[in-house]
Amino acid sequence: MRVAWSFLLVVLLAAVAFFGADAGGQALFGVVLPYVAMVVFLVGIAARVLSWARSTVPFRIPTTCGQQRSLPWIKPASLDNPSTGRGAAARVLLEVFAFRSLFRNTRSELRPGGRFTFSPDKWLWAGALAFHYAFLVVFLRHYRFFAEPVPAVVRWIEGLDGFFQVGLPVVYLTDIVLVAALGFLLWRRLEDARLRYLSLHADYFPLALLLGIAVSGVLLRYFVRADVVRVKELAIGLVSLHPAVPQGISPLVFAHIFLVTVLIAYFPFSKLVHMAGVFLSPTRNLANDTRMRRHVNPWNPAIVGHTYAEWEHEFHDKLKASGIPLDEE
Amino acid sequence: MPEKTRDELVQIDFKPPEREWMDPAIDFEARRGTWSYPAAAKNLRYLGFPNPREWSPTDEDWQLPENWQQIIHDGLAERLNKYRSLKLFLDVCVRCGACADKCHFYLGSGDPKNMPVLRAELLRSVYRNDFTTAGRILGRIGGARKLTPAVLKEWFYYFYQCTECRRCSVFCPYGIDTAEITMLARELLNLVGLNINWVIEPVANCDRTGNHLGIQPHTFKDNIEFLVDELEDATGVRVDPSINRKGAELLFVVPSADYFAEPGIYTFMGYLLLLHALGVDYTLSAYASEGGNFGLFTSHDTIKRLNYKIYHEAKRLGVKWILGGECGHMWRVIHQYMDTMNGPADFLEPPVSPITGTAFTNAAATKMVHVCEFTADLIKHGKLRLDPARNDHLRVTFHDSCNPARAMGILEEPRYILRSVVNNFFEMPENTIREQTFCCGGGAGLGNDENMEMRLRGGLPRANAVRFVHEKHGVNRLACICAIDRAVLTTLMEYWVPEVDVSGVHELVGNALAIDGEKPRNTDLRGRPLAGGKGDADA
Amino acid sequence: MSSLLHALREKRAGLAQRWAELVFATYPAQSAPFLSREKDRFRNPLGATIRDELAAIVDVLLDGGGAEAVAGPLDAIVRVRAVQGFSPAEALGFVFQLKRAVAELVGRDAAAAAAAELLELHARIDELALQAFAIYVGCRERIFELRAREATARTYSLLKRAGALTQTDAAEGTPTPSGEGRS
Repeated sequence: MRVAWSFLLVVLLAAVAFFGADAGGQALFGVVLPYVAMVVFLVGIAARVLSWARSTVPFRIPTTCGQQRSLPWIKPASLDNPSTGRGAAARVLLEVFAFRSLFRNTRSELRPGGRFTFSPDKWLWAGALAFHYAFLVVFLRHYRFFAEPVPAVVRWIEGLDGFFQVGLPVVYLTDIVLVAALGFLLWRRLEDARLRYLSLHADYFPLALLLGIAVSGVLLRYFVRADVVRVKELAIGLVSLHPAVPQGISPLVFAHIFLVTVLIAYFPFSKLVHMAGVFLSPTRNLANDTRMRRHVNPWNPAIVGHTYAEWEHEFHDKLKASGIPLDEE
Repeated sequence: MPEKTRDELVQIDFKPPEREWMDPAIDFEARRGTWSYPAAAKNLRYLGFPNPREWSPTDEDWQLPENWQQIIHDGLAERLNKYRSLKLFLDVCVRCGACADKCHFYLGSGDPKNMPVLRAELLRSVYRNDFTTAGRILGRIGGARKLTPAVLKEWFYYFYQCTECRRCSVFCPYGIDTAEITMLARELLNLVGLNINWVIEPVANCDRTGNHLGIQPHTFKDNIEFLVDELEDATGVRVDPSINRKGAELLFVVPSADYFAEPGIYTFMGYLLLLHALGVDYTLSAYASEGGNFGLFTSHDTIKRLNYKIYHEAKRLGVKWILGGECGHMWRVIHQYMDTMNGPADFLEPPVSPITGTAFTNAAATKMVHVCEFTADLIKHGKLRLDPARNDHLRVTFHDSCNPARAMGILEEPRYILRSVVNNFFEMPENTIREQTFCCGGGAGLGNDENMEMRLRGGLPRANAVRFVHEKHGVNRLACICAIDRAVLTTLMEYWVPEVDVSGVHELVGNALAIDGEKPRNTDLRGRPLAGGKGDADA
Repeated sequence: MSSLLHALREKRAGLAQRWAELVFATYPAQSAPFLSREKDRFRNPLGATIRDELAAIVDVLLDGGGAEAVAGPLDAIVRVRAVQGFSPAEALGFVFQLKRAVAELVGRDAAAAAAAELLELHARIDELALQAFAIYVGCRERIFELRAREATARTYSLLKRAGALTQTDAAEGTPTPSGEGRS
């Protein structure tokens, strides 16, 4: 089964880093590889986006999901069918921040009395949104390792995230949400026969990797208790480009870091590039205004159809006989 | 006893063998009724398209050019550079499955390869193999596969099993549009001579004579005159449409089925009555006698080639602007492609309604107005005398046609018209209309008779919703603004909900429109008696 | 009261559900769960039709309704299966799967029931199958009728009436027109 291979691979990667660091490879896993991964990421993503940008957008093909702007007394759907660039930008932002299209799923149900009700079918939307936001917050929280003093914003996020003040150290809500959402997305892929049929290694591996990162992170925060001061020393060394590897950091930290390293390096070559791609989607980021304003195709081929003159020439006698006006007699 | 009972059972194991989707095997012989006949060689020759020959999908050897793999590889490379949509859609899909149950062909057949995501994977897997590093290194593990003859056959089967309706694209978080994938995949198939006759023959006809059916100009004129006679019989009003007349204010372009096939002809009668009642100065063209554009189902170059005629003719006739009839994919082309391909239309004037003075600012560049926009504006300004009671024998619902809904967004205009011309209007359930509308199952050139079973399967979700309003509200008329719909839904209804007829919106306008000089109307445009023996013309 | 029917009435919903499951299993394995689980009749018209109409047939059968009462639901299912690429046997086999569902549900009770009772039920199901067969043949005929009509009648009716058909056919070198509604 594909999913098993992905998890096996992640466990293997973690083990390599764990034992590798233990055997004296801290510099490799803590410094060299993260730098390499960062370079791969930046170059890879830039190359990817450039390659998309190099491809032209010959036609304006938004998918219209609401009323067009036409007559002044008909209310247009300015977000789902924007007629201006600003509207299109808002549409993309709504897609990026609220997953608008996934939100569209509805389910109708026949109620007693023959009445139909429409209830949202939002599991995928909720699961995806929960994962992405939890990941974002966890990502931002990690800034505490990279900056001294810890920025107020990060402290504020931490405070909010640990609002319920449960446990010691305080349990972050997003840690739970992140693992739960990833678990849901994985369960969904395995449980639904259709998704199981079409899922590739490339679908399971990122999930396994992210789960590996989340679980190792949770272990480090709540159970193994890494030496935060030394980890921060390592992190600040990395970002200030004066890398140093403090002694006594738990090998689990290196496992965690290595999985993140793999994720970063894998990113540009995987479906994860949807993060950048969503902004460029021609069915979403273009205004539905092609009849109002001319859209230019940079390579518009010089194609001339069957001209009127050719047509009249061919059908001349028939046109004449049936009294249809002609250009030339 | 129970054991014995079991023995008596007819035991058939229907379950198909579990096989990975990457291993294709299409048995065309066993799947008759779900694919379309290949294009006749004479049509390809006329158009100058590659590899004309007589062949059948049931043949083992499809007589491809020797270097067909290279041709497709190069064709794909070229299109990846030309179409950001293609490159992006092939890269960013996360296979979340949001689109899986949105395709009418999937819902009607249960065939997993009709899920939009897998339809795209058919091409994506080859893209990975040929164009991505990961695919090249990892091969099958990376979801990549070589373009083998079996894969190509699968492309032919499934890319001519997509109606380019864009419903999946509405639900995709990245806006991946299977219509775009299918259009470009069909371009690739066309490069090696894999196309279907029901697309290519109309293209050839349209290029040569001006319309899909190959109707020559004198016959076109006879047809129009015949319909004018019929209309006079029904209403007592003699309308006088002109053909190829220079100096008219408007050029009116309709899909050819509207002056040729039932039930489109009644819609056409509706247009003529309306334009006559208002005294609009318009002309039809026998040269640009086709609004539809099967180039959309062939290649972008072909769209441009066929669409060329409309502006060319408008310029020659010296009209001010262009009015367009009710048609689905025609309007996708006009709305999203025409100006880009064949514009700028600087020889025309920004369209203004000659009756109400309304400026159609939304068509300021393309200078072509949808007849529903035109009519809705007339009704809003009280320029029409309407007697909706003349449609009281009808209980009407409205089918949003795919392209006008999802590639344009003309949702309210036809509804406004319908509410003004009929008294009994009922909507279908909300997840089957507007931008979520279900396809008729016969768009994109698939509305041919040899493909009937696939059409009936694909039409099931639409028919199912119609049946619901038929049972609940007694609906007996399905109105739409698409000529393919008028043809395909008619058959669909005859199979699934025979009590329901199909018509264009302007047929119902024609029924309700009161005109000076008309005779007492006892029948509708189809010659069917009105409700309650109603005879008075004026409301 | 017949004890077998009585037992089945008790398990009416379970019987309909099991029967539906057996029918869903005739569709591709990847899709069967969706067809079975998605309850929205508009999002899943195929699954909803099968589930609802099979339940209706079970009701008629257990409550002693006649062929007329069962015609509607039977028609709805056969009409769908007639266009789904099944062989005739596959398309109609769903009727006999009711026997299997019955056996699975009340197998033990059935052992206690009189053989005559079981025979009667099976005879009723066989009648159902014959009725379904008639509907199936009607559907297939309809499909061919629709094909034939599309291919010929509607295409040419207008041209014929306009007296233009011969001219079009005589037109030299023109690709022959065929198929209506291409626009």
